[in-house]
Amino acid sequence: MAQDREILRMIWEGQIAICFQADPDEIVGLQQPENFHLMVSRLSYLPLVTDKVKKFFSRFIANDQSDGVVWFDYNGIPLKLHYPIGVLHDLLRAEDDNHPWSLTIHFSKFPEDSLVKFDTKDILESFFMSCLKEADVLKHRGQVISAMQKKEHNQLWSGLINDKFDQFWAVNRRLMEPGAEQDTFKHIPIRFYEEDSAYMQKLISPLTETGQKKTLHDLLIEISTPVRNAVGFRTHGIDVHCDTQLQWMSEHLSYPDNFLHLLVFYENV
Amino acid sequence: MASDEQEWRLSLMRRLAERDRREVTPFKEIILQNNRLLDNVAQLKADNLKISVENEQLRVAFATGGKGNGKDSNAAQIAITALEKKLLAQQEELTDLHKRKGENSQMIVDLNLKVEKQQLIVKEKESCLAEQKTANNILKAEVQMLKSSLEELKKLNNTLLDEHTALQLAFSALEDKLRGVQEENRCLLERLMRYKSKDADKLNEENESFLRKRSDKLKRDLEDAVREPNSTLPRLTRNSSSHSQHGLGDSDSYDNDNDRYSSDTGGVDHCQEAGCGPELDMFSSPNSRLRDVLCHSTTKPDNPSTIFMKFDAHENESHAVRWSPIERVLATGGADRKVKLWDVGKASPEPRAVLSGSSAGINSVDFDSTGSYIIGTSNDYGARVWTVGDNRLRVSGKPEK
Repeated sequence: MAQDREILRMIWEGQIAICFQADPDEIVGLQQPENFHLMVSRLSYLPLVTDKVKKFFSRFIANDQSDGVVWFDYNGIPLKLHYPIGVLHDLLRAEDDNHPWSLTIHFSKFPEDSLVKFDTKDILESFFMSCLKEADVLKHRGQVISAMQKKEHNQLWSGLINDKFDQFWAVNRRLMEPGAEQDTFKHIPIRFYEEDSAYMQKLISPLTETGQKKTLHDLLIEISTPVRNAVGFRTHGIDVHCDTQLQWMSEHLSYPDNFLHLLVFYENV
Repeated sequence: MASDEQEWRLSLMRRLAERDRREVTPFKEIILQNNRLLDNVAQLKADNLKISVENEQLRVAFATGGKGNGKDSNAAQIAITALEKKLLAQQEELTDLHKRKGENSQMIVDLNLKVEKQQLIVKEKESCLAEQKTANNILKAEVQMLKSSLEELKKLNNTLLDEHTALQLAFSALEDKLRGVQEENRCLLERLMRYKSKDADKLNEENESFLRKRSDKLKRDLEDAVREPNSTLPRLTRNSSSHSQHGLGDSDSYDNDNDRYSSDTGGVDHCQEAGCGPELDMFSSPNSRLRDVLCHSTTKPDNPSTIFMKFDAHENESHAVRWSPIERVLATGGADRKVKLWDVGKASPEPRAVLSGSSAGINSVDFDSTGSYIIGTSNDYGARVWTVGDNRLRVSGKPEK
């Protein structure tokens, strides 16, 4: 059960400073748009928070292009719109300078092959809900989420997009409860990220063979291959202590889609 | 286990805080402000655009109004004339309004003057009122004072009335006392009179007894004398001729007898004179009795034979002599115009006083009943009264010629 409210709050309130720039090719007219800065929540998704940015920059671009789907890139890498912003940031931002994260906004030339188009918010919502269901299946065989009513699903989504901690966690609490037989989840919903932006998802159990609660140590060992060793995890912008219990981590450090998104550091053997 | 949990939990929290400090705090406020400013700028730009568009429209409208373009120009001309008419009308209204404004300001000035005058009048009235009030206050104060003085006077009056009644009561009490005292006095006087009468009676009795004795003696002497006829009747000489004796009623018949008597009778008189005025009546009776006695014994008058006292009273003749009713004093009047008082208590007469004031010889003297006044008549047709105590002339009466 997610008892540690303080941790939960700190996770929820995590923000990133982003500096949006316009694509120089797309600018029409003599005026140069200034950079648009914005503080965005780590747990949210790019299409949800960038309405204002779109409006700001649409003045400077050609009229016919302003209706298209907006996409962003960082250093030439197009950003996946269905990843949480915190994940994208931890994954892609290499250097750690004191500047806001500079992204470029594009109105045209959507890279169809690398990105999934999320035109409207409803598509993103259905993706979010599918993630939740997947996580619940892993944790509780899907019983909790299917027992919930539609309005509770809506409450989760509206709590996320409106930044309402209490509203979201009123429902999410139930998803974070351990299973009926054991006091852990059945499996931990977890995704491992490496340097490139594809993730790996394995079936991870919260308990060791002996029945003790798994820590990250055990996890490290688990995902290490003979070729390379996993040495550290990173999530929410912090390196996690290796003694942290996995079950606890899943309860507290999950993203709103109830998954743990961990960046793994490898070392070659 | 618990401490391990705490440790990784704490490290987790620390790292989260560290992350926030690094990533969140530097940018949050600034980005917020920046966005607000951008919004403002956008808003202002939009407004600016709107205004410039309007401006352009106006200018365009104005510009197109000036150009001549067929039907446009006619309309424009009509519009112009209409506008000019309106302008004229407006100007007329304006002049009208100016005139009215002037009139109104004039009215205002007049009204201001009137208001000032009214205020002056009001001030005067107020000052009058204040004076009246002060006068009123003074009068009220006077009334108050008068009332208080009236009260005091009433009180005084009351006290005086009370005192008066008290005095009346005292007076009545004193009157009663006086009456009582007078009663007592009367009673006492009566008693005194009674006692005196008793005394007088006693004295009379004594006198009578004495006289009887004397008469007896006289009788005896006369008898003896008769028996011894060679004894002669002594003749008394007196210097004074008798005119009037004091205080006796039947003096005429008595004159003859007076020559014969010595001062013994005077002595008897003196004894009998020990009384006051009202007792004079008493004198006559014993003397008359004496006379009777003497009349009885005139067959053999026992004349005094020896002279008791002899003295020169005056330089010239002495015409009048009188005994004082109260004391042993003799008054003599003579041709030397003086009245002399002689004290005859002792063996020789002592001159006591000389009363002068008459311009001719005294021919009669008399005492009053109390013996305090002496009157002397003289040959200068006048009478004079002296006081015996201090020998001063009191009354001098002379008929005018």
